[in-house]
This record gives sequence, structure tokens and C-alpha cells, in this order.
Amino acid sequence: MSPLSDRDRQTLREMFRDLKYPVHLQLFVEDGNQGSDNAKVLVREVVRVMPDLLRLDVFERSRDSLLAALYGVWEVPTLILCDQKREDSGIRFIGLPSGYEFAALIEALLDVSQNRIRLSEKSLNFIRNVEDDIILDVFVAPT
Amino acid sequence: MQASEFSRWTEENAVYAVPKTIIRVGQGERSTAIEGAVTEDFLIRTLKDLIEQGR
Repeated sequence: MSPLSDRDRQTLREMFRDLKYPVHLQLFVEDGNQGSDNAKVLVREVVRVMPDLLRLDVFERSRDSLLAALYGVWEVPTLILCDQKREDSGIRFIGLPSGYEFAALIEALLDVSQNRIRLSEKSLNFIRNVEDDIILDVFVAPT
Repeated sequence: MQASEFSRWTEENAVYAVPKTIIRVGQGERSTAIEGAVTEDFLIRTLKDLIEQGR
């Protein structure tokens, strides 16, 4: 059964009109993992709505372990969004991007496609010059 | 990944209310937590302070 209804697909088609440049989705999965199977089905369905601009590559974490290590993948499923030049946008979805995460996924696809960064130039200049590793964990509720 | 991972993360990070932002700099030796909404200016200022502490 498809995870998207006809109405969902129609809504996505309308939202994806704002896509500007291609987005490469790199999905890392593992055989026999239920979450991976569900993620494959869901992400394939999303990509199918706008195949000209959304491209999907699926990797087996154990088989493509070098690539997984390069991307820092430690859980499956992990979805990585890369821009039109296949450069890592830094955006990752760990776990199945469904429910409330699904809206975040669609927003992220639009952000990467439009190269949209929601920070001021001043903040960006500061961040570009930071030499230390920084980890930000943000805990939120979905509502 | 299991859904139970999320509750483990919240316990490890003492998250009793959301939103909560935890910032770690370097190998985690400098960190701070902000509860409530965070503006861009405040976040950048906090990051600058943490980075300065390591110098």
C-alpha cells in the first residue's frame, strides 16, 4: 500500500513547483530493517512526484560502509540531502521521516533546492570562520 | 533506530521541558543549555562566549 494518497501527491506536486535546482537524496538502509524498508518506500514515492529535480540513491550501510563512514552514518535509515552539485547540505533525517518529520523533510527539500539559508549574512560570516566543532541538539515537541 | 532512543536522549540531556537547545563546543568540554525559544542573535552570542572560553 502506498504511503501517499492521491491528495498527498497532488499537494506535493503543488509544493514542488517551488523547487529550483536538483536535490540528491542519499538514503542509507540495512537489509531486514523494518524502518529501512518503510523509508525506501516513502522516499521513493516522494521522489516519484518530481523525478526531474529529486534524485534518489539507496545504499546498504554494510555494503557501502566507506561511504557511510564518510557521511557519518551510524544509524539506519539515514537520509542525507545533497545539493545540485552533490555536495552535502548537512541536513540529515535519522529514522523514518514520516508524521511530523514528513513536513520537515519537504521544507528541507525546498530549502536545499533553492539554496535557501535562513540566517543573516553576519551570522553566516561568523559561522564560516568557526574552527571548533559545534554540536547543537534541539529538543522540541511536534505541536 | 528504535523510538525508545529518543526517550534515552531526553533522559541523558535532562530535558524536562521543550524547546531546549544544548550547545557543545570542541569535544564537549564547553557546553550550555538554553530552555525556551532562541533568537538568532542570542544563539550566535552564546556560541561566541563558549568559543572564547576555550581561548
